[in-house]
Amino acid sequence: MTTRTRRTALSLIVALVALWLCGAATAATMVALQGGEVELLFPIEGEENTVVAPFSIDIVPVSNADFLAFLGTHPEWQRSKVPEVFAGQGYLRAWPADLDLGELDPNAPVTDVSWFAAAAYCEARGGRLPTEAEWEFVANAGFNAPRGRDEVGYNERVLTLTANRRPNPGPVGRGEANYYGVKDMHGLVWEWVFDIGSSFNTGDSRSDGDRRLQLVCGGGSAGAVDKSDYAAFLRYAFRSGLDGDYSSSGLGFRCAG
Amino acid sequence: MTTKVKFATVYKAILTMSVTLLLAFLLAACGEREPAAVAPSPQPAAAHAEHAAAVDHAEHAVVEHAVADHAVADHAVVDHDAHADHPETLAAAEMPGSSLFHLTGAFTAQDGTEFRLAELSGNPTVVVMFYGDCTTACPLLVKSAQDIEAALSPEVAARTQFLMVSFDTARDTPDKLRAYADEKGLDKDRWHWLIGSPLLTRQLATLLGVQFRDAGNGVFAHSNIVTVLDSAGVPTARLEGLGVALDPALAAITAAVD
Repeated sequence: MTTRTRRTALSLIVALVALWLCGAATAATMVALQGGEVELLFPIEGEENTVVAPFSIDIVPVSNADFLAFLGTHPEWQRSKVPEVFAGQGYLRAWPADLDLGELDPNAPVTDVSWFAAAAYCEARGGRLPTEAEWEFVANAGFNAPRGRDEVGYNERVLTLTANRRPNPGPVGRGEANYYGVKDMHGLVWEWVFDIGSSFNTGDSRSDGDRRLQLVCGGGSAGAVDKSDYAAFLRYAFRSGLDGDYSSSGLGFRCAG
Repeated sequence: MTTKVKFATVYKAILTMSVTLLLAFLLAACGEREPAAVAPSPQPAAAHAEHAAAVDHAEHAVVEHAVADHAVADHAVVDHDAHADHPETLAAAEMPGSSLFHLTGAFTAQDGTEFRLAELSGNPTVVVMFYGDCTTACPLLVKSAQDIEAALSPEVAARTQFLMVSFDTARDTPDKLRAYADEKGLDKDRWHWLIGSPLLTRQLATLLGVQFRDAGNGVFAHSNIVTVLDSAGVPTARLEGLGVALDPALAAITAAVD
């Protein structure tokens, strides 16, 4: 009887450990979100809010190790092989060789990647880059509430995270999870989004109206919905100036699906 | 006593089996959960074709490089079914690094067939991005392409190709684009009216420096750009805005034919 009880208890423990291992192994990649309304920093005529459909997003940015594995199976994206239309001179510049991370931390977010390479990585994984609206939907969440602006100290906190990024960003996943369980949206690197080159504020227009003007002109931030959300202003301004072959040591990405 | 022993054995067996089953179930759940979580939102089948070709312009012949990680491995960089009138399709190894032909994804043309940029190799091309429901700027963009064709010498015009690529991957269809082209008398040889996957469309726009955004109500904001590609797919002229002089485009096309 005692043996049986012990055995039962043991089985239960084994099962629980298995369940925990299983959870740890799989729950760590993406979270599924219901989507909803996103308040755009620069509302577009007739588009005060954008509605985002349900989607999934990576909990952490793509790491050097992840990208190295991708280059092993997709050699066309290795630094010595990628055509210049898809990646400029700075592409993976800190890598000593095509498949060598050198001194880089395998767990740090991959940076110095072009938009084309980031999009190809996500596609190879069966996903895609998050749209700007999806990314902002996640980034606008607080740490305890779905709407960061409702949280005391949110703007200051995000701005501090954004401003205090290190030149060599540390391992992914160390940041505090936000309301949706997503990490490192602000503290590590800038991130590519799917719809670069969409900073427009006019419809089917004969004039090339351009939201960039609002972003780069002095006093342009007067058009922003929430003038205190300076971190968001920085994000929009940074993204609006990017070309697809550009890369920088402070720019990485994560995937959505 | 014997019965009790037997009972204990059976009980043990059942317990072991249950635990095994539970573990197996958990493992199976583990295996299934990840792909399910990563499952992308539904996309047109064309989205998968973009990975067909591994572009290695370094040293290998293209045909050897028809390698891909996906099921579409038979679509090499160079489409072997390329139109007979474009026999000089460049191998990836010969492509300049700045050639747009490195973009290997398959578009769908107005006749429903697949179309890859590399099929344009050997002759100059005028590229315009537009969309079918666009009533203001797009007709003028299409008109620019028409005006370019009309202003070329007949010999040069006969070799110039026109690529009209839709932004509206959700609403435009091959039939719709064919009707659009037909209405303008432009459903004809050398005029390719294309739709791609959302990614392929964004990739091409990014390569061309064309900005666009889906305003969500069937309207796209977009920049008005006409690009000329030389016979190797390298952009050699760019008209920005509407109603601008066509001369730079005409010169680039003529140079590409000479």
